[in-house]
Amino acid sequence: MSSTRDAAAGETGTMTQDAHPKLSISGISHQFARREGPLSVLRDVSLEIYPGEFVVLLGPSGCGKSTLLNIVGGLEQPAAGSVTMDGKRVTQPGPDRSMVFQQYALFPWLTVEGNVEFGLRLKGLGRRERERIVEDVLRLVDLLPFRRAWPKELSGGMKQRAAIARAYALDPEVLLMDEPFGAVDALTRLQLQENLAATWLRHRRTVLFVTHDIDEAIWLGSRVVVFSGRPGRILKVLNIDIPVPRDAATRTTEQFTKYRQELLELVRAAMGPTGGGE
Amino acid sequence: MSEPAPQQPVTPDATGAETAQAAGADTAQTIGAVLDAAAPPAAGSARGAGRVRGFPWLRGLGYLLSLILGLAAYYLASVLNQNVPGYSSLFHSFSQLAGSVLWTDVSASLIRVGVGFGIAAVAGTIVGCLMGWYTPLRILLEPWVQFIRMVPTLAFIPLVIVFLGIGQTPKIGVIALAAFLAITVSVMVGVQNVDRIYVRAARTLGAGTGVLFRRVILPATLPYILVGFRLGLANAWTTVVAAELIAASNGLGYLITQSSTYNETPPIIIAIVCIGLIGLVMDQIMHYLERRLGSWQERAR
Repeated sequence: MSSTRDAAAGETGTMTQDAHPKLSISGISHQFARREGPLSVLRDVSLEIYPGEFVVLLGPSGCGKSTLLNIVGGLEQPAAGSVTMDGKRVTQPGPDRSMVFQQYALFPWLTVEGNVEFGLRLKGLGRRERERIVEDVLRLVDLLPFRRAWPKELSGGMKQRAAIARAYALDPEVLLMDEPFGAVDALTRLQLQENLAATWLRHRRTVLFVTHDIDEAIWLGSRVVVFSGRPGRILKVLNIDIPVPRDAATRTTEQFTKYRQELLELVRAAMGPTGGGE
Repeated sequence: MSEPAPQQPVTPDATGAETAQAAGADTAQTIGAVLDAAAPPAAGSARGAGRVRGFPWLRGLGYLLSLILGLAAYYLASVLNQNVPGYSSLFHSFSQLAGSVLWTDVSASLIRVGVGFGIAAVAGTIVGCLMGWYTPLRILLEPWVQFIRMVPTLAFIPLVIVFLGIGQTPKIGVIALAAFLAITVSVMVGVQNVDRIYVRAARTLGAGTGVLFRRVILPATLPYILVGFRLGLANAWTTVVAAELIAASNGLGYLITQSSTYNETPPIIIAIVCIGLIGLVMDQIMHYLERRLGSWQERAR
């Protein structure tokens, strides 16, 4: 599972743009049906994501960034536009695009181990192979001692790490994360971010990460895509040229502060003059 | 879901006995209440039990007192009313029955309930799952399920005799029907309440429809399935007397009907006590299963 080959590819985390995109999002528009008429949530969103990139979708709540993630995940069909992965059109969910949800979504009737194994069984892997992967990914998220614990016995942060391990276990080509750290306390959130950044550096999976936390976006992202308020459009795509690995000190550098300033202004503009949104 | 019926509120700490009796007496109104109270399961029961949690002996003492009071009340009734058989005639009757037909009757009833409930458990779980998951199917079937649930099983007996004859089939059929309806409704509600986040997660992990049912919807619904089984079993057991009106030659229901033709009250009371006790034991077993198999659930405090 470990590969140093990818890790050497980009110093800053911004990947070689001449490669073929892993994911192509082109001309996505989407609306939800409501009794009062359709609610437009995404308008003509196009984005290319390259292998090994950590792309953060940032925007006010209700801007449709989670909807976009669901569309990439195949859980929702866009009203217009298309998503392709390695040139093939995405129409349904699949283990090549594992998803991590804000509400953890661990199956409470399975132990941590059982959760991680869930997708592996569906892949038809043998017991020994599953065992090996379970150990690998649980070690990766520091949960190996809790492999036989039930989800209800875990703290929020541990639950989310277990959910991430479950997604990693399938060795997905793309990891889709929908505000994964939105429901945990601030300190746990920092820990989870560090853990995620470390594992990303080791394996360099392509990550699409939704958040409305600006610091989180800069600290984790190789690129940050800023969305407008509803209906969501891409306001700006910002390359984060801070070398990886990043650490706690990164957050106080001048460079980081500059990015924060810029993103803050963009997000504020996105929310409109009333500072609205829900 | 219907609100708890005002005349018999099913509190979260309702005991198995209350639930079973209530379910038999008034299935229609109670099932919703029990689902509300027990299915997001036993959310309040910990609190209800908590008051005496530290004193299990106090609880045991209470039950003992309850038993003594009940027996005393019956004694009083038998003294005041000549027609109520006293304990001595009950014991006499019991020793007579225990030496002859009682155990064949008990096992005959248990077998009928076992088979009927078994059929209902499988069919009710499948139909309940499908009705909970596929809205069009629910719209087509739910009115009929609710309609039939409103009819006491007794009312079907004459029809069942005409349609299915007088063999073992109609008895088991009536019992199965009684259990099936309770299980179906409970499972259906359970499936509707499955958090869709689990479904989404499973789909992104590569689960197709079959896997989704077997490995997500079924386990997620398990607490409701077990509540349905408990209510269904109670219904099945309380239906056995009615079912054995159909040309039976054994069974506890038969014991009652036969004794009533000779105006023999002691065997009737013995049969009633047997039915009640067996019902209580079955209910406790289901309760135990609910706790065991549902131990993964987060309990709201």
